[in-house]
Amino acid sequence: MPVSRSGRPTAAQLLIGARLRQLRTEAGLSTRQAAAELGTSASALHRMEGHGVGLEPGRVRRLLSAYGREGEAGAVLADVERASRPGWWDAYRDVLPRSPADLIGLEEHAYVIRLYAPAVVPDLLQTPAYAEALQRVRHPEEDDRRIARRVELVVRRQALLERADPAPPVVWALLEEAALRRRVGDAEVMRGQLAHLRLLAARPGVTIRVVPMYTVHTALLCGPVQLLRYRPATLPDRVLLHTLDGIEVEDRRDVVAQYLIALDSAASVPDSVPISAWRTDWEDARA
Amino acid sequence: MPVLEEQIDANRPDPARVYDWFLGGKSFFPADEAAGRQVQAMWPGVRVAARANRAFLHRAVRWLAAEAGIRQFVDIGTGVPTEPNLHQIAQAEAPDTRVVYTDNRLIVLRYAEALMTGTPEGRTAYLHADFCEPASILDSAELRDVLDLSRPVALCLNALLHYIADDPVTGVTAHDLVARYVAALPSGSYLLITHVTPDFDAPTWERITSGDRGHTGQTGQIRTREQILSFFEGMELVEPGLVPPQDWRPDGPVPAGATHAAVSMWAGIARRP
Repeated sequence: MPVSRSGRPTAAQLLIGARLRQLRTEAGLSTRQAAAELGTSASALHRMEGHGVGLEPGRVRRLLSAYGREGEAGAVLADVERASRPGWWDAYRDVLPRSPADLIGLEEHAYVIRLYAPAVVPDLLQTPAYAEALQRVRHPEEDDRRIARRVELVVRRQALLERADPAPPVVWALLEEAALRRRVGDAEVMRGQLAHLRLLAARPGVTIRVVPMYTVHTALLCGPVQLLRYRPATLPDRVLLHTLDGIEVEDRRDVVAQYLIALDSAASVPDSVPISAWRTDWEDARA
Repeated sequence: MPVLEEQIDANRPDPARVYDWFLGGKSFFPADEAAGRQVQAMWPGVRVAARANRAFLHRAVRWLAAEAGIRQFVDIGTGVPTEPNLHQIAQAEAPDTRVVYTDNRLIVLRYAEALMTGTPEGRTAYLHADFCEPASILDSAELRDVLDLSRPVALCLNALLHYIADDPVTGVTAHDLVARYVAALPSGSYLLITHVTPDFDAPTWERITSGDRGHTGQTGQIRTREQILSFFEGMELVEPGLVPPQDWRPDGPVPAGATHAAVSMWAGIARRP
């Protein structure tokens, strides 16, 4: 079972572990009792549930039969098998942001993605033209081929918004007005980007609101934030923090709580408007 | 005293977020968790109660949609979204169901708008308004746009009224307010109420209500069965009447630990003749 390059469990492993834990709780067994069924220690089972490690097929079947859920063994084992294969993004290792976890896996498994964008449009909502203009600013030394690969990675990450099964994540984005006024690329790129945001926001499950320039809230004191929420109740939220150096993944509860407060503070600004209703002077101006 | 909150105060527990902690959600702050633990220390059954209450809501909404044929719902004091939400239950029975969610906290409405997506055939609307101002809800453009008040509506006051104390200054009671809402609904409408009560565990509730609860954000007025029954005055209670939520048309085993004393709530639905 591979772990991410950092040695931390991958998103897929975390989810499998969380699912096993949920099945055990539903069966009303303690870690100790379930470990005894398996002939292993409580701490070994704890690692299986926490990090999805050591999930050999025989073990998984024994556990699930102890929980009276033999019927689900096939599905869990299929997940274990899938988790052991590298993600599609492995092919983009040369342009992946430096990150301690399998960042894109974390993103793809979330069922709610909350975004806060103080300065530029977030990756998941960018048009290819906007993404390209931004990548050129970020990597002025790179040739067209490398830039194209970076844009390709951004676009492929966005595929999760188009998928059918599982359903796409719910997206709830708060964009500072500054992020929409700032001209990335040229006016044409910006017009395309704005039209794209309005199209996205017209979908069920995508909310994009603009936070006006004159408001003050807690999130102003941090950079861009991406909060990921997962379905198993036992799996805590994670926060991705975008820095020049790469992307930090935060899963410490007390830290994540601070970002939740910041996001909620920005979300409750009284004058924010849905992107569909947001109008600006430059949109009508011809470049 | 009507309250409309806009900006959040992360240092002060908020009942909607504390309730989310009770339910095992993820949309609460450290202050809410601390308050939740304080409540739990006084009322050990509170988390079981929240789950039993939520399960009642699911069964009740399913019954209203499937058995009573209700296609319009107003939910006051929506709170933080918790799956499955009211409109998901109702629209699973009848996709064209229309639901108006209202809460007096702007952040709760923002959550609802962002996280609750309904069927294409139905409608959901979100209204920032306070229960204590019935006109601001009943006469709002949002509600009138989505609902037809000449046709039956289910008014859901789920775990709300124990936050509403009778106002000693104005003399307006929670009963006056409920009556205002019921009067605006046509014949064949339903009223759903779940409410905390001291009836099953008097000593515990004596301790809770005699202490200062202000710091937990859980203030209001708990009521006896008699007092809760009178909210339904002039209406016909649906079988099995006003009962603990876990005993209302159960569709499976009662959750572990959900004793009458632990849950300490009454739940019921009545029809307006």
